[in-house]
Amino acid sequence: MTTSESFGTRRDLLKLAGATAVAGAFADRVFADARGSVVVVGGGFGGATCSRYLRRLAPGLSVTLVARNERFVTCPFSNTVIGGIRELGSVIHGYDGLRRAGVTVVHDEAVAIDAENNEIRLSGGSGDRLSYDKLVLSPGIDIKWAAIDGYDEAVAQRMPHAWIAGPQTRLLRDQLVAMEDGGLVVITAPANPFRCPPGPYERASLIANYLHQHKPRSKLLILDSKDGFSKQGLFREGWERLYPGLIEWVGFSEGGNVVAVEPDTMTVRTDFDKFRPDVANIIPPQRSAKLVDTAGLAEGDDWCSVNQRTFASRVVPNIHILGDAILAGAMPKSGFSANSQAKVCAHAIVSLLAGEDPPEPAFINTCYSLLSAEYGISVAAVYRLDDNEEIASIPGSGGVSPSNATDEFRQAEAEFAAGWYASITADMFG
Amino acid sequence: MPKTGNWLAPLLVSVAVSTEAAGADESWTGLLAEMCAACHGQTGKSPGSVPDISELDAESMQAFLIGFRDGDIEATVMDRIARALSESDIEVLSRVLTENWQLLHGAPDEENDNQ
Repeated sequence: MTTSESFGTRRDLLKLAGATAVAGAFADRVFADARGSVVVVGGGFGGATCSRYLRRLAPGLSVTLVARNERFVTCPFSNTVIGGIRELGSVIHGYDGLRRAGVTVVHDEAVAIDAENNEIRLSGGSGDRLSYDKLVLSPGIDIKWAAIDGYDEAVAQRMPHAWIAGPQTRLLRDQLVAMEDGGLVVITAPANPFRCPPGPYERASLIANYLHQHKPRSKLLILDSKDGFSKQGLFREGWERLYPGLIEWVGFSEGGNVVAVEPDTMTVRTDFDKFRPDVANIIPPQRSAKLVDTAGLAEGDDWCSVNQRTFASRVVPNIHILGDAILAGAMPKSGFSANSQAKVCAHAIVSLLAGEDPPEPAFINTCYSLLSAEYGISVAAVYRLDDNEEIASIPGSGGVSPSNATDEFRQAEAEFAAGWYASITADMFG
Repeated sequence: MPKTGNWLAPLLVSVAVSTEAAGADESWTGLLAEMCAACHGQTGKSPGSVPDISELDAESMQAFLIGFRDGDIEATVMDRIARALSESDIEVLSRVLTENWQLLHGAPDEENDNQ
């Protein structure tokens, strides 16, 4: 395609579309008449994406994003920081791109939802209340502090979870750097469902990569509350190849279920045994962020249920919920899932505000995991709603990377993992 | 069944869309096109190492997707994704994506706004 042809086509298309301003890739679906105010809570993969796409689809819409912090630290790629491959700064993003897209960004914490009056209450830093016509919640997870005996917020300063990226990420990294060669690192992994199913095993891989290079007499033990995990065959193949003998995985049936921690003695207790690691990374059970409880949106469960066509809450229909906080059929709790759901949700909201039926939901998820800077694996799926209105993977598609692939193949996937990260963070934040 | 009139009509006005495709399928494929940006960027040009597909025309993109789906072109992940697509999905997806990217490439000011 030459430039001149492309330009000619553009003019023709603009004429055909009757468009004067093209603000985004899908200019064919602009809802000039959609009016109203949407408040989006949560400045991560779901909330940032939804805010940006709402503004693009409906320039007449007022969109306010409530983000707790001025900068967002992504969980995706935070394991490369823990493993020493990247600096923390490379996984931190600001909100100026969203402001340029016309999103009003408020840095505050939403502490309560008043569904009856269509308002949310903020912690106080930037005004008391925000009212909305539609509310989007992409609030992420909270740790279930009571689930492992003895594990609370104070103990997490000694035995980090690092499952909400930020200071915890740096803390775990610092502990690994301070550890003597020959030390024991324990990672505990929760039962399903939880944020980022392959995450604990990618983290084990990248910590092993660091130990292998710098502290080769050390060991890494994964204590797991389940008997299988995401991309298990590919992880084990890679561990055997890259770090033979360094990583040991203990599943639920073999006694891997962690029930208690004792920080004073750095003890991790399972059903049958106890361990004394030098570094303990406790990845505890999780739930939807507690904000949803202020409007009863989780109905006493850990996760929220939504209409999977529109992401409208089952409890309060003009509140839409997406990302890690919900059960979304066959989709895993991943950044890519939240990004995909956010686009579907944005289309649904502008359609509803314009008095139209929402489009047929389509989703993709690709989760890359790194086993080293040059060794990547992935799982992918394409989704649509099944006959029960549940998100389902399309039969015959998706799946994991091939086993016993060449080094070149693994390296290509590692490079595409980094490419994916660059692309999706640009898609979210501009 | 959702209305689809607003969805594809403006850009595909000169394009013959397969008539056997149900309205829901076209609507699904149109929305699926939005998902490509997560890896390939909103203009088909990733800021990272994901292959640049912004210069492909609809026919080439169609040929790639069919090749990936049928295992005739080697891929790392696009083979697994393309296996979700029917013949008419691939046709609609290729046209929606390439025509929108042409719009963006010809409109540098708007493209900058979008970055």
